[in-house]
This record gives sequence, C-alpha cells and structure tokens, in this order.
Amino acid sequence: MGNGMKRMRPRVNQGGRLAVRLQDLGQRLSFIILVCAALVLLLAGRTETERMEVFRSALSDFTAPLLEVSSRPVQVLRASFEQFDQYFNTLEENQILRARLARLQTWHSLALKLENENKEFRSLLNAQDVPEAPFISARVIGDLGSPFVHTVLINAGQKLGIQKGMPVIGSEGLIGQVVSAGQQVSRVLLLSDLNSRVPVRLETSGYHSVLAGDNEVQPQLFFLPARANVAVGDRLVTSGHGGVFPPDIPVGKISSLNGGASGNEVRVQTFSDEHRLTFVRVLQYRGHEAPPGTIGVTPVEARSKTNGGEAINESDVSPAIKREQ
Amino acid sequence: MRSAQPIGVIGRFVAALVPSLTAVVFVLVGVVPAAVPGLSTVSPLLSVAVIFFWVVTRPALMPPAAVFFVGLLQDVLSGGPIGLWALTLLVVQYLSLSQRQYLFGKTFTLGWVGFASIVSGAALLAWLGACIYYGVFLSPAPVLVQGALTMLVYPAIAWILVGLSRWMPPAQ
Repeated sequence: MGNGMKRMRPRVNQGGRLAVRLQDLGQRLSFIILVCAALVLLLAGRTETERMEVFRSALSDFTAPLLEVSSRPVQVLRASFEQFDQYFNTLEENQILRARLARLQTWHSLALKLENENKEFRSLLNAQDVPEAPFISARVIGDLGSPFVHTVLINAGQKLGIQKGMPVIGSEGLIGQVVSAGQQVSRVLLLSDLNSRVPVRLETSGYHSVLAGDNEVQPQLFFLPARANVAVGDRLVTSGHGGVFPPDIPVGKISSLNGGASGNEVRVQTFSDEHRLTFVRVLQYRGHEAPPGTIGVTPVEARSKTNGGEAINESDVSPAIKREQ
Repeated sequence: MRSAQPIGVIGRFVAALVPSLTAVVFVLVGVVPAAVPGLSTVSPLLSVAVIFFWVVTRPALMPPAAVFFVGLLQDVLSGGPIGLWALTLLVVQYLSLSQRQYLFGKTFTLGWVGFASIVSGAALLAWLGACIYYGVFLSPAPVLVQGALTMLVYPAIAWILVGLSRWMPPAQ
C-alpha cells in the first residue's frame, strides 16, 4: 500500500506537469501563429494598400465612439486651461490687440480698395476664377504621438460627404489632406508626415515647389528651381497644381535655408500648429474642379503621386538652392 | 495588504479581463489629444508598460492573443503600418516572460531596470520595422524620446496597476 501511495503521488504530479506543459505549448503555438499573422499584415500593408486602408477605416469606425467619449474630458480640461491663461493675460493682450486693430484698420481699407480694383480688372479681362469650395467642420478626436506617422483622426466621415484626398485647413492655414475616410471617422495626413507632398508656390516671387514632410516638425521644400531666390520669412501658398489642393491656401513661411546634411535644405514653418488642433475644416474640393492650366494630370494620378512619395516628376528643376545675397 | 475575499465565478472572470482592459484603456488614453499643448508631440508607449507589468505579475492573464489585439488596436489608431505594434508587443510579451523569473517578487527598482531594457528593445524594434516598412532612414530621435518618456512614467503606471491587482483574486 505504502509503496503504491508513493508511486501514485509522482504520477499525479506528472499529470499536473503535463497539463502545465500543454498549456505552455498552446501559448507558444499561439505566440508563433500571431507573430506570423503580424508579419503577414505588415506584408499586406505593403502590397495590398487599398484593401488594408478599407480594413483600417472599418476598424477606426468601430473605435470612434470610444474615442469620442474619451476625448470629451480632455477637451473640457483644455478649454479651462485656456480660460485660465486668458484671465492672467487680459491686460497685456488688450494692449496688443488695440495696437493690432489700429494697424489692421489701415490694411482693411486698403484691402477693400484692392478688392474693388481686382473685381474691375477681372471683369475687364474676363478672367476665370476657381470657385470657393464648400467645407465641413470637424473636431479632432485622436492624435497619437507616434514617431513614425503624423496623422490625426477627425469625427466626420463619408456620412457627411468626406472623401479621400480632400484638403483639410485650420484657421491659420493648410493642415493636410484626408488619407482615409470611414463612415464616421477620417484620418488626416499632416504636412509633416513622411508621405505628405503638397505643390506650393512662393507667394511673392511665384516660384513653384513641393512641400515634403519627413516626420520632422518642419517640412522641407523639394524641387525649388535653382535660380529661385528665397529668403527666410517668405510666405508659401498652395499652387493648385495637380488638382488635389485648391490654389492660394496659406501654408507657411520659410524658416531656415542651407540646413541639413546636404547643406541646401529649405525648411518651412507651417502656419497651423499641428499639436494644437481642435477644430478643422475639410474642403469639399474635388479633382474635377482642377484649376485652369492643369494639363495632362488627372486628379487620380495626382493623388497617387502625392501619396506615393518619390513619384513626383522632376523635369527641369534641381534641388540645389541659391541663397539670396 | 488586503486579504483576498471570497469571490465568485463572475468576479474571477471579470478579474481575468482586467489586464486586457487596462491595456486597451491605456492605448486609448495615449491617442486622445493631450490637454497640455506640445505634449502630444511624442507620447509614451503606455501599452508596453501595461503589458510588461501584467506579464511579470500575472502572465496567465496576458496571453499572446490579448497582446496581439492590443497591438492591432494601436496600429489602427496610430495610422502606422498595421501589424508593426502587434509584432513589437508580442516581442515585449516574450521578453518580459523570459525575464520574469529574475523580476517577479523582486524590488521595484530591479523591475524598473528590467522594464527600461525591454522598452528600449521595443522602441528600437518598432523604429527598425518602420524604417524597413517605409524604405527610408527615419530619425531615431523621436523614438528615443518616446522610450525615455515611457521609462519615466512607468512608476506611475505600475502604481495604478498594483492598486488594481490588489482587488483581483490571487493567481492560482
């Protein structure tokens, strides 16, 4: 009997151990399977871009209510922070605003005069203008501080008429464009993102260039003609080339010249602060409203070019920059 | 410390869901626009901290499947390559599990050091993955900042999770 008991006990332990081992094996197996699944998803992201976008926006829609609810208290907190700020700076701000008002009143009368003049000249020339695009306002509900992608989620989607490729602007200027539109949530690709390419024009000199993000805070200018004279502080607006963005949306101003490893990087400080976005406007600007003078580039092509990164045509321009003397 | 109370089957079931739920909540918290301007530039890798904590204290309640779905959620919300965080977090789970015997029940400082090494590995892996995926050399600076930030906030996260785990029935 005693012998039997002694034999029994190890057997029970062995059974327990076997169960643990089986559980362990199951965990390992599921681990390996899931690692493979992750790798497959990554590969699919490279090859099946469109389908993965659909998959992603479907999942984003699913998480939208969660994000809506969780972003509310933060919005309130942020508003109260701002109010707090205002209480303390009222006096100072008042003085600044008075000074600005005095200055702007002169500009206002000048603007009115120029607008009238412009209207007259336009009617004389019978010039075609790009019609103003209607817009949809949306709130930023997600902003993942990721080092690899610079995008935000907004609480408006296809239900409200938002489509992939539509430009997004803030009160100060261009923010980016919609890269995927779900039913209720859309993702906005910001100007600083690695994949962002926006055709821009130097406001005063008129030279064309491409504003390209590289995940740094300040995006850089590509394909600036070699003879273009640029200076720090020059303003940039969208050129309207390619038909994705309407022309003349303020984008930013040149903040540095001749930087970077190559010694001829031109960096741009965007007018809108990407980290303080609360409300944005999505312009319902469609490709077929491509401005006059856009030849040979259909909007679809233009879109894939701006998203694809390197595919922008570099014909008679060189990235070398001449510094203004 | 509180003594464990008699908890029914439902209580046990709810408790088993706590680790995965906290991971989801922390991913969502990381996505919400920050109240303090400028903070959202780079946010800490909260999910890595949560997964590390639960794998070390309650490995059975943080299985690979839960880790995978948390990673997938983060991928979807961040707009980055889908699968990158799923993969990275699975590696975090594996590494944490392999280091568990040296960390479990030891001092907090040791756990913190262990976490620091694992979060560095995770940040490095995610960065490498993103570089390969996009086919360009990305600046490693934001990832380093993100890793360092995560190490700094770890005590706060661990404090919250220790508080939560006190309400859970002890591991079998």
